[in-house]
Amino acid sequence: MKKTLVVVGILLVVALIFGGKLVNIRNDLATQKNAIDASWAEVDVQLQRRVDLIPNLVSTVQGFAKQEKEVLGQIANARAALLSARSPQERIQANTQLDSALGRLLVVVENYPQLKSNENFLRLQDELAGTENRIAVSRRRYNETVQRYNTTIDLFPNNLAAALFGFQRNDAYFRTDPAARGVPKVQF
Amino acid sequence: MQRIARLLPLLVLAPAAFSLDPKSLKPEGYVSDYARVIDGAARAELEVFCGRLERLTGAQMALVTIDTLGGDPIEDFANDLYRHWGIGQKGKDEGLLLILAINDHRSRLEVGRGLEPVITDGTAGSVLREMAPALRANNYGEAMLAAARHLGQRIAQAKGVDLGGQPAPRRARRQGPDIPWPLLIGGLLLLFWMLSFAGRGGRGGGGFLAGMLLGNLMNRGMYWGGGRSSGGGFGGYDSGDSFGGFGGGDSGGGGASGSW
Repeated sequence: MKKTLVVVGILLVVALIFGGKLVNIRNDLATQKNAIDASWAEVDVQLQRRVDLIPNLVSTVQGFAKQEKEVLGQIANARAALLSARSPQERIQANTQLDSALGRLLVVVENYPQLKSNENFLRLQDELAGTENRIAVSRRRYNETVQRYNTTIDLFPNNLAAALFGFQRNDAYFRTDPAARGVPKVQF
Repeated sequence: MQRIARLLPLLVLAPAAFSLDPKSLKPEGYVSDYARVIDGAARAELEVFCGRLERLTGAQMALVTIDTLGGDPIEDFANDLYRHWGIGQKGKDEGLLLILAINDHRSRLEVGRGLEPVITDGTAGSVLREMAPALRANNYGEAMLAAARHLGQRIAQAKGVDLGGQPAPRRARRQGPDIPWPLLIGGLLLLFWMLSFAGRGGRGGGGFLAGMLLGNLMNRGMYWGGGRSSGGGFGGYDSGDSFGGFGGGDSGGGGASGSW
């Protein structure tokens, strides 16, 4: 009788320890998942900021180079795509499209010395470059957060707890072409 | 074989020689002239100016010169250095980092989150463009002074403060409560140590419990203590206008880059 009580007691303690550990892992994963959302929100703020700068840039360029309809049209399309994109993956893709359209614009700008030395344009150029750098910084932090979450999920015994509570890997990394980042930064 | 052996140290040293790790840099003051291009007088004037700016507005300005970036983008270097030093007070993030890479002819003004509305990227870009002529003439100290005054003036204006001389009527600066954490934790440690002696005769579980409690407290203590401000270093009380370490501020990558 006494023996069974001891055994039950031990089992109870073991169950409590395991249950506590499981709850800990679950809470940790939930925290990390929220951290991913928060760092994506930061990326999103910067993407929106970039979208907001485009109309100003386009109108300034139009003042000097009205005939460059093709490039300006591409930028307008890419901006519209970014505005209508919802999920992180879609927005990342639309942003890449905008990257290349802006890169082409800056090549075109080389042909307009007056535009190139216009202080208003230079400031817009700085704002755009600054926003791109902010996107790069927030993107790096976002990727780090996603990676930390995925690593946590993959490790034993977290993987068991993750499966039990329905946490899945998140592969929405924000990858970019490293060459593309340099394009908008034109030397003056 | 011998030739390989002779080349080996070169291969090992090569990456270290070409790129500069921001984490290895310690601030020398508001001005960290690693490239040794700013003369003593200008440097002293900059230190006084930045000290006054911090006392009157709470904003911290770091002015840095380095020889070369070794091919790294100045944006990455600046952001890493900014976060490593933690320029500006934690939470307010009102800091500026002006970097000149002398041999690369590249400049960057990194703006902390808190100052982004005051120093927009466009403003940062114009400040760098205004510096270019003096930089081309190798007048680095003069260029830094002009830029620091321009930036300081803007910050002071936004805060409604006069940088001219008298302290502002209200101190914009706010610090956390002055709790002597090391003393407190030391005292608790002693207490728990003594408790664990008392408990030793009895059940012996006291040590574990004390350890847990202590661990918890230590964690909290470190969290409250100021998190990322790893770069401070100088510490102490900031009497007058001398550099007292940076405050753990953060930057989201705002600002502008330029070249001369």
